[in-house]
Amino acid sequence: MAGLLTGYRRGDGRWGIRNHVLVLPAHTAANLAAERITDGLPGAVSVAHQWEAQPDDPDHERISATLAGFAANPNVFATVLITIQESDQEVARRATVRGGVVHVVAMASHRGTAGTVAAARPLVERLVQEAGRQPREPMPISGLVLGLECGGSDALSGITANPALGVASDLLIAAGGSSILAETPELIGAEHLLAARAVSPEVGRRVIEVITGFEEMIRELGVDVRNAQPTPGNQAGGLTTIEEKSLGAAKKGGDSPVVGVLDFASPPAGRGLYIMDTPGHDIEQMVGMVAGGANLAAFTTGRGTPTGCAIVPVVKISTNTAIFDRLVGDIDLDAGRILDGLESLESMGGVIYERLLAVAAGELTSSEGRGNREFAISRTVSPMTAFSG
Amino acid sequence: MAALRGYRRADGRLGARNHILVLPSVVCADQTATLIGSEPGTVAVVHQHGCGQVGDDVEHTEKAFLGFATNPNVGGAVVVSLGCETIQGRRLANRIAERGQRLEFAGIQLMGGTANTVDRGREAVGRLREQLARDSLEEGGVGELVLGISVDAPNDLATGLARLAVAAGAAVVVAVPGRLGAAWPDAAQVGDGQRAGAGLSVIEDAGEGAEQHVALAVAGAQVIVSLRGPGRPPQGFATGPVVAVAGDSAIFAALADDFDLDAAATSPEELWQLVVETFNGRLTASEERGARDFVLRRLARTM
Amino acid sequence: MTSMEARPRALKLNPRDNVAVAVRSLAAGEQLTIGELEITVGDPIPFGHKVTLSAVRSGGDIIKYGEVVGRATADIPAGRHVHVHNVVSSRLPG
Repeated sequence: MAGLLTGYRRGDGRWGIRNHVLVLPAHTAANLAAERITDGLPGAVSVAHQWEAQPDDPDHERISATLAGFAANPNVFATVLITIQESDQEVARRATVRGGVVHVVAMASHRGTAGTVAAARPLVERLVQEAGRQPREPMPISGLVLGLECGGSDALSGITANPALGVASDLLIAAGGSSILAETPELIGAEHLLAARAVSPEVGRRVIEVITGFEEMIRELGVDVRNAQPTPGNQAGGLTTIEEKSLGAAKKGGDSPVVGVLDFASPPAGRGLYIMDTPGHDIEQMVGMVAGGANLAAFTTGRGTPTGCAIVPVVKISTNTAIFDRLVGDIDLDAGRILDGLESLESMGGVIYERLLAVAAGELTSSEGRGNREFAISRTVSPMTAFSG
Repeated sequence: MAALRGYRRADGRLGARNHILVLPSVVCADQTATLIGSEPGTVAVVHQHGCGQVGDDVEHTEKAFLGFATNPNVGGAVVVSLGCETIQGRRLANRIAERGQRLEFAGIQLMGGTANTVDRGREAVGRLREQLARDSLEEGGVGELVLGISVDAPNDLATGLARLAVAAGAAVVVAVPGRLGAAWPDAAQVGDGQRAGAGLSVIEDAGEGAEQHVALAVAGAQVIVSLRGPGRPPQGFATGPVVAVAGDSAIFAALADDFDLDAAATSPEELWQLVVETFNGRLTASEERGARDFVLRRLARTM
Repeated sequence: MTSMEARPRALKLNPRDNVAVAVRSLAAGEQLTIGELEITVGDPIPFGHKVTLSAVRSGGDIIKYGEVVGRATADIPAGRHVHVHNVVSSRLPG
């Protein structure tokens, strides 16, 4: 058992396991300023995105909720939001409602990028110093919200890493914590198993509704999804169909009851295992869970992927030993040991759980060490389609 | 009118700049590409595409990557792939090389993780840099210029600039959102992923702002002039100069350092003069500040 | 089961399954023992790919994890490679 769990207490009762200062562009034209503000400043981190913030964008609500939730994640000590105009307060307002601490710096008040960097840098330096003075305090395990993810899946995903992560998730939930299972298209074919574990008929109906709804949307689009689900890499790894991939993917959720279904980027209201409605895209999914308040993530991979998150530690787990050995330094744990009889699913689940607690207590993951901060915003409609009617 | 000076490409086109582009074929390779592209003289982009895409959106994205990496302002490219992505990096790299671009490939799953791939990618950048160092500026005619114009809606400055440039013999391609191409009834239509021909042409459904910059680069533009409407902030482009003209004096005053000109105080003649100077090496505000914008229009939601 | 020799070559994940997952690459002609079942591998089966444990008729269900994971598009004898060339999704056939 890892030592006493500690973290950063937030004003609204939530807990962070990291204490980042996040510099977040509210508009794609602020990306460069955000990056320059954090350059060479440990403790501060920025992300870049492609949102133009058009009020008539049909995805305005979803994008705004994503940015606000990301800014309000409990692993963030404070967010400095870089807007174009002083009047661009929507994301800041929403993040504050979600428990975030947000400072706005408007580029229009500083003649552009250079002035904005000069104005925001001292503020960010001060916030980093303040964050450094905040002590870690003993933290209950119930403060952990674990995002579950798989990417670059192969046929071993559903046999080794995902069920072992399911064991770890069940241990976390039994100890009072929460997990989020997501990737709606990668639950197509497993919805009946998840619905049967729902705590109420309403939750069960919602599980079926969300998953079959996504399937229906794909049918209505009338597109060929065969190189997107499963991806070429999934297929090379032996996965033939979406339902085969899904049945393996759903094993990340262990056997715990499903207590609720969350909209993209929405926070869980209670504790236990939640399902969040997200795309299967690794980064869009990660950002959705983090915007919903996940402060820790576990990511299984069969083909191997180096990605991480700017503000949340991601523990990566290989499904096979060959990939663990091959992607030197990119993967944290190897569940391929199960195949060699070196671990059982149960013992590997225990190993993952212990590592998650150690990481929660401050140990860095491989992607944190490399500074991985891939970021993407999930959209539901093409702006072009909307524009052209 | 002064002639142009630029970099002669294998396919005969003239580049106004000589960038080494580091292009991730998928978002999962963003950080690896950024680490490779931290070398001087290189530009690495980050984006959120390449996986979980379906239908026309896949072909559209691959065409955009292809046209972006073979724009004449790019002297060499490194494609950085994860390996399992929908838009297969190896295939993309081959298609770029087939078009005559100097091309290097780095694959994370192939080469054994981030650290190994960054080492190999930086070696690749070194090889490209040696080749680019031997490139020299050559004389060209105005007829070799493809001028890209980005607009939210038709406006007098765009019309006037296009008329002057076409009269001087340049090709002009205007990117518009939606179906606004009707405002230029005599213009040829440029299809998705196609290069603009001589004279005046239009790209419809090109998105807005920085999305249009990608569409214009794909069409072959070496210089882009942004003539967006009032209140729009200036945006740059990863591998080419963008002359950013403020749509109104208030936004110009508020973001003066990031704009080149104020539409209210600019004539088509001045703008055309600046386009030629920009081609010949004058840096725009977006280049001065180091903007690396790469915003890709998407045609469908992610799976 | 700590040596490579003791490591199974293919796994049947559920008693209902009619396919097994190769956990090392299998060559055509190899004999495979899964429980009481003896089959001869008819195709090279890459690591992680599936092999039929019994014959499946065209249109028949492919069962893995005890669940239907797809539908055969051709008659597939026992011991053969099962993948995108002879199976489609029952949910999103493309």
